[in-house]
Amino acid sequence: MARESFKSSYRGFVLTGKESYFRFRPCQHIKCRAGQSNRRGCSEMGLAIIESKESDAKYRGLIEAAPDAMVVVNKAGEIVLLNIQAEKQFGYRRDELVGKNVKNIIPEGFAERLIADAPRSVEDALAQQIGTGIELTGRRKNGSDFPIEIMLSPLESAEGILVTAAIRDISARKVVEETLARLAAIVESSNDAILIKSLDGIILSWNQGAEHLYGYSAKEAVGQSIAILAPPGDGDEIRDILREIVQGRRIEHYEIQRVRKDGQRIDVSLTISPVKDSTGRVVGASTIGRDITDQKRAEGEIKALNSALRERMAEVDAANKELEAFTYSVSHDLRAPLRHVDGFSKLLLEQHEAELSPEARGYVAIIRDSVLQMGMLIDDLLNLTRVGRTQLSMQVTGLNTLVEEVRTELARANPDRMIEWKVDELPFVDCDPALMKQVFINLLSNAVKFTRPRKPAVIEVGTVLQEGQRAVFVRDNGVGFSMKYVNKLFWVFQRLHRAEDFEGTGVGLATVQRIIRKHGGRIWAEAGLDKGATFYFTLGSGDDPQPENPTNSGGAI
Amino acid sequence: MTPKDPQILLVEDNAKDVTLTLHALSEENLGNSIQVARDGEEALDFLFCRGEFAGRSFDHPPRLVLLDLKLPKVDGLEVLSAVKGDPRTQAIPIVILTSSRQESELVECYKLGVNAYIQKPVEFDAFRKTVKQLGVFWLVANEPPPLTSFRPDRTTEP
Repeated sequence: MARESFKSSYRGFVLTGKESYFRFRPCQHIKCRAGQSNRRGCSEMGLAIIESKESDAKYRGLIEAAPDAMVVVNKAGEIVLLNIQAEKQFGYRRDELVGKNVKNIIPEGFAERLIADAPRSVEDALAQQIGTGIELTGRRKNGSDFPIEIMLSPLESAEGILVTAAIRDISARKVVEETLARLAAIVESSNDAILIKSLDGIILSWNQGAEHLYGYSAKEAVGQSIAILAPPGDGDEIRDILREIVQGRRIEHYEIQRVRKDGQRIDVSLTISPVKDSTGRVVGASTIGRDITDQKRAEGEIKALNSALRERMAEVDAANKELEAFTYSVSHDLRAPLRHVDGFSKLLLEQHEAELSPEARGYVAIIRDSVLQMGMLIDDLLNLTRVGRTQLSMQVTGLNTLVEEVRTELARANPDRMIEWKVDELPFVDCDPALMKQVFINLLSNAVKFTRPRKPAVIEVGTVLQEGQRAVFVRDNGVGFSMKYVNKLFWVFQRLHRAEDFEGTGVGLATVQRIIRKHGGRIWAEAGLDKGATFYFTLGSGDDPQPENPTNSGGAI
Repeated sequence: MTPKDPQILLVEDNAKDVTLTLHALSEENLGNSIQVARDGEEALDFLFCRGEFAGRSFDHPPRLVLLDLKLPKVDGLEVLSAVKGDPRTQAIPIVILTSSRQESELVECYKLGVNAYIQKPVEFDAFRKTVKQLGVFWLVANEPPPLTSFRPDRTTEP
């Protein structure tokens, strides 16, 4: 180090081309005379002394031309001279600094070095620091600090010993150093195993992650062949990988089995990149390894689950087919005998009425009534299961049209009823029109049925805003029901009225609910005993008005 | 057409349904010109004038076939497919009369060219009314096509 620094200061003198301006002071360590040793070089140091005014001017020129900031300080720590780079670096004008203490620009660590201890002269004190890069902090005029490295070289002048300091701003280098340190820390602390190997497979570096993953300490691994990690017989693979690397190619997410020090096999995913020297030649490979044993296991589990799921799906499919077949036989095989009972009992009444007692005729009537009831039940149940299985076929539909169709059918079926219909303007909605008609058939025929004792019956259909959503309602002034039983309303086979009073199967509202839910909506009811009933429903969550309907009275439902 | 040539072919395996259907048709005085086939094979033999019906002629097709779907041996869909797929018989009106209303079957029947599809109502009155209407419509109201136009062996009406 000392030799180096001497060389550089020596070179510096030569550069001026005018050695005669300087003479070398005798080196105090080896008792040699400068005059004899200037060319051969003193092994320790050389001190230059400014000899004349002329040389002073030359020296100033030399300093000015230096690429670094240069500050010349006297023994008292006062700044004697500085160059333009120093002005720039510290943000002062020259005249603001000359004569000021160097502590203004280098608060600590510089002025102190100029003080001689008891046994040492200033020269000695300085001699130990010549050419050594000293890292200190510089302070600009605006008060901001920045890291600097200074190189000191003393020179004797007429005014006594002066110290020349070359000052370099090392902010950028500091950032790089910190970054490198941080990167090194990251590599070291990474959970991934990061290692570098030479092209012949010798491990050169080994981080903690590698130690953790493979079980070998850095001490054990470095210098070993990477083959210690390969399961027996897998050496070829490593060779193949290295061949790729030599070509300069990077290998990503290469899944391979490795063997830990304890013999346990693990699945790892490797990313291997070539390591190049400054000339771009591939000299090794860096490997980042990640333990994917758990991931592999999870993948296996997912596969197993998937195949289990597929099996279940097949079972569900089979069950659906069975249900289909069952539905078919219910609809075909169960209806047929029913039709026969009805047909022949009817023929019995028609063709043999005279031979039957009034009591027998009554029994036959009951038989026929039961058949009717069972027929309805089968039809409704089939309908309910059909709703469950049918795919919705959506279409923008005007609800008024559906209501009008149903109303007309009901009016025709109940010619002797006095019914006052109040149907508001209803929205156009995206729905399955066939199923939506089913909804209105059920709700409106219920309204007609349960208003039988009313003269006139009043049935209203309209919309109302419910929690920001438009709901369609069907209201009647019929016999209603107690809200006590409202929870049972939409269950299959649940009836809130006796069959003698109001016929029905208890399937209709369950079907309605299923249709509404299939549309993503909900249905609910309000009623009072003998005070009529109102059924509300919404469809989906959509609240955008359908643009297709120019007379839309207010949003989708 | 000779008087013995039936005007309606009723393809129905269930004897009770046969009785009820015949009963309904007889009330419209259509009961005498009905041929009953108890399975699909018998129906095809009749319609294609073969087997025990080899003596029949394509010149005297029934004016209506009432066809059940669920039949022994050859089912209703196969019968429908054979009749509608043959130029000699494709003009014969076929009305499906079934207990089921399986949507897939309904669609399949129409794809094969069925003329009507009726689910037998459970209620006898409704059933009777439907059958009567069918008989009257196809045998009285409907105008059948000239037979020769469906005979590839005879290009024009004689």
